[in-house]
Amino acid sequence: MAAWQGLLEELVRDRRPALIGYAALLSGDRSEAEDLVHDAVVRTFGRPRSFPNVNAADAYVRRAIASAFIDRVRSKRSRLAALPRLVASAAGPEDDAAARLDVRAALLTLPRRERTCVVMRFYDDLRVADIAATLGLSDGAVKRYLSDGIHHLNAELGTAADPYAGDPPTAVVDVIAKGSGR
Amino acid sequence: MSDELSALLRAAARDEASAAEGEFPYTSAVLDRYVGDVRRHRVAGMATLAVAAVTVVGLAALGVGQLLPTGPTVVSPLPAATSSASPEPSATPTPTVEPSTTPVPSPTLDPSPSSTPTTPSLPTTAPPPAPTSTTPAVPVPGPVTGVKGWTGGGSGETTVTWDQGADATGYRVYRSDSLSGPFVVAATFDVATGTTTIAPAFINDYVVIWSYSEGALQVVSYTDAIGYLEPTYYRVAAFTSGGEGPLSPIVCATPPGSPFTC
Repeated sequence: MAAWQGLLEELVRDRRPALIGYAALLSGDRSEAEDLVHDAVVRTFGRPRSFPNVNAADAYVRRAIASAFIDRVRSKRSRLAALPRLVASAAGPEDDAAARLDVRAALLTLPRRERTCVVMRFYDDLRVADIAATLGLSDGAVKRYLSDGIHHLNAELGTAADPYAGDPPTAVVDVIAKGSGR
Repeated sequence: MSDELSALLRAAARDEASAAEGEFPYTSAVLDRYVGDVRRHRVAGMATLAVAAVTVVGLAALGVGQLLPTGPTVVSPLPAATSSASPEPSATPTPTVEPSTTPVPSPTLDPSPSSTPTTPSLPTTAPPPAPTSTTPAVPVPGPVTGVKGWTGGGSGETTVTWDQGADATGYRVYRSDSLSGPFVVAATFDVATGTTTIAPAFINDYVVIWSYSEGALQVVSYTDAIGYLEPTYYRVAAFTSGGEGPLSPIVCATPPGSPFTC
C-alpha cells in the first residue's frame, strides 16, 4: 500500500465527520458538505504531496474545503433551500442548542466569501494574511469581508466579536489623491 | 468576546459532525470510493503531464527544425560546374543530384569511342557519390553537336548527320521547307533499338536513320527522299526519358541535281 493511501485511510476513517461538520458551517447542508469534503480530499491526495502526519493532511483538506466552497457556483435557490433543512434538523429546547442553531442560521445569511472568512477566522483561528493566501484574496478584501460579516453576526447573535482580535497590527497608510486642485 | 463566537462556531461544527457520523457512516465502500477517485485523479494528472510534455517537446522540435536550414539547400553542389556542354538549365524538378554528374561529353574529347551505341563512353570526370534519392531524375540531354546537311543519293535524297551524344536515348529530326520554319518532327530515332518512327505527315517519305561509327566518332545519319529540288532545312534534338534537349542550329540540304544552293 502506498504511503498516501494509508494516510488517506486514516483521514477518512478518523477525521471525515469533523471535516463534514466544518464544511457544513460553510455550505449549510450536510449532503453538500460531504460532497465538499470528498472533492477536497480527492484534490489533496490527487497530486503527489507528502504530509508528515494526519494533522497536516487534515489542515490542508480544510483549506481545500474553504477554497472549493468559494469556487463552487451555487444558486441562490440552493442556499435558501438549505436553511429550512438546517432549522428542522436541529431540534432541542436547550439554550445552547438554540444558540448553535442561531449561529448556523446567521452564518447562512452571510454572502459566501464573508461566511468563509468568518469561519476561517473564528473557527480555524487563522490570521488575515493566511486567509487571504488560502482564498486567493487580498488582505484588504479579507478585512472588509470580516468586518462586514462580524458586524452582521454581532447584530444577529448579540455577540461582540472583534474581527481583528489577536491579529498582528498592520500599518495603515492613507493615500491622498493628488491633482484634485485643492 | 471573540471567543464567544468561536465557541459557538465550534459547537455548531461538532453538532454537524455528530450528525454526519450517523448520516454518512464510515464503511469500506466509502473508503474505496475515496481511494478510487484519488487514483483516477492521479492517473488523469499524469496523463495531462505526459500530453503536455509531448506537446512541448514536439513544438520545440518543430521550432528547432524551422530554425535550422534544410540539408539540400546547404550541401547542393554547384550545378554544371563540371559540365561545359550543357549550358541550358535542367527541366527536371531535382536537378541538383544529376546534371553535374553526367554532362554531355563532346565526342571530340572522347579518346575511346564505344563500339556500340547502347554503351556510350562515360565522361572522364569521376562520378560523385550516388544520390540518396530512390528515383533519380534522368537528365535532359544537351544540344546535339556536329549537325551537318548533305546531298543524298541519286533518288533525290538529302542527308543529315550529327554526333551521337553519350546521354541521349533518342533523337528527333525537325524539318521545314523554309529557313524561318515552322519546323515539325519528321522522324524519331531510338538509339537503343535502332528503330525509326516516321511522323504521320511524312509517312510516305523514304526516311532512314541509323547510327554508325566513323573513325573516332559515333554518327547518326538521317536520309530523307524529299522528292523535290528545293533546299530543305533541318534541326535535330536529343531526348531522354527526362525530356528533350534544345534544338540544334538549322542546317540545310539539297538533293542531287538541285539548282539551288543552301
